Amino acid sequence: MTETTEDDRSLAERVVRDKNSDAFGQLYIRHTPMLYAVALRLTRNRADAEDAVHDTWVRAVSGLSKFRADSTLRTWITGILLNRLRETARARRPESIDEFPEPATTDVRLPIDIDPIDLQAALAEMPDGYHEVVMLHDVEGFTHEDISHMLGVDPGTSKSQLARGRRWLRARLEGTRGQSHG
Amino acid sequence: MDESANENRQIDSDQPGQLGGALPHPEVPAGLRGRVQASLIAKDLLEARRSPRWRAPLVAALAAGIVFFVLGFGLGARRSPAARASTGVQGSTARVDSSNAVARTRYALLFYDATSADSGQADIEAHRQWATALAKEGRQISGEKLDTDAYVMKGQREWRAEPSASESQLRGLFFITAATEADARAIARSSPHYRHGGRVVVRRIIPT
Repeated sequence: MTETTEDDRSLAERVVRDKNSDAFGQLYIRHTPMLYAVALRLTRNRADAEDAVHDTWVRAVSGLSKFRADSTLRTWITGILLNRLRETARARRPESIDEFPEPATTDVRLPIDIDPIDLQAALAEMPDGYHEVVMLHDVEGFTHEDISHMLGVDPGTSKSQLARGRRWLRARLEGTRGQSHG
Repeated sequence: MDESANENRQIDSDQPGQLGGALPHPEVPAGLRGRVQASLIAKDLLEARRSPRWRAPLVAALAAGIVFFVLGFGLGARRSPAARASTGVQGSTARVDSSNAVARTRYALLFYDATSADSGQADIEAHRQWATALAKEGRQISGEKLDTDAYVMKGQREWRAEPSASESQLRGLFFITAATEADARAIARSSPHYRHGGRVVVRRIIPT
């Protein structure tokens, strides 16, 4: 028996046209693990992450008829999530990435053999401005083009923020290694 | 460890997703899907779908309705037309209809409390867990917490409502489905808001 997977666009059409719960369920199962992971890593709080994902789906389904073909549904929904997270962050703690000092190192590559525990700890402490792009690009696999759609920035801005985030991460990880080896 | 070999093992700058393997996705909270679906149904963005656990009671209710209908029809056939008009078939049919209607009856639970009541994250979490548990039972439930800031509009005038220590305020509201009004009241009594000294008003929503 061949299992067929209905694509996002077709499922979205069924949700808009028929308010179909099964179609929504498939979209939910497909995308929520990524949305929740991004929300949890950016908020560092389970309740906030859950609220953000809830609101994201409600906003996404409310506006699903406006979803256009210039990005994937995954990218579009992640953009909604990021907007939702930014609204909450702005309300709680106005912060700009420019407030954070750049580490001295200029190497923007990361070692491939990062310990997951060190990585999680470092990401948990990463300034929000870098954190978004590093999470989206290096962890969730979005391209700079995707990220530019989500954040409404130029792909070049996404690249430069990724470089800054990696510099910060590399410096932080080297500090960790120095401590664990020293 | 050969340091130069380690230096060469670095991720490609342009290749996305290279750290993904080191960070698996965390488990999504089990109640989140029900909560999202309840909100979408409440906003009429999704059709309610009866969960499997609802099917047995629904089939039983329909079967009971058919039995009542048949019994009523048989009873009515043996009675005079006058007696049939007052009870009989019509009453049994109405009973079937009403049993279907109550399953869809929606209620608003209005949560009032004193201005000094706890409105912190713990309180929100307690309400969320309560709503999630109800959603897991297959009920439609959605709700919102309301800000205490309020404006009153009357004609061309508007003014900011000043919270008064002596007045209860509407702090939040939930929409639920319940089989009967007593069921709706029982749900209200189970809420953390009620247990913490708040006041809950239950009102049936009139379909329009």
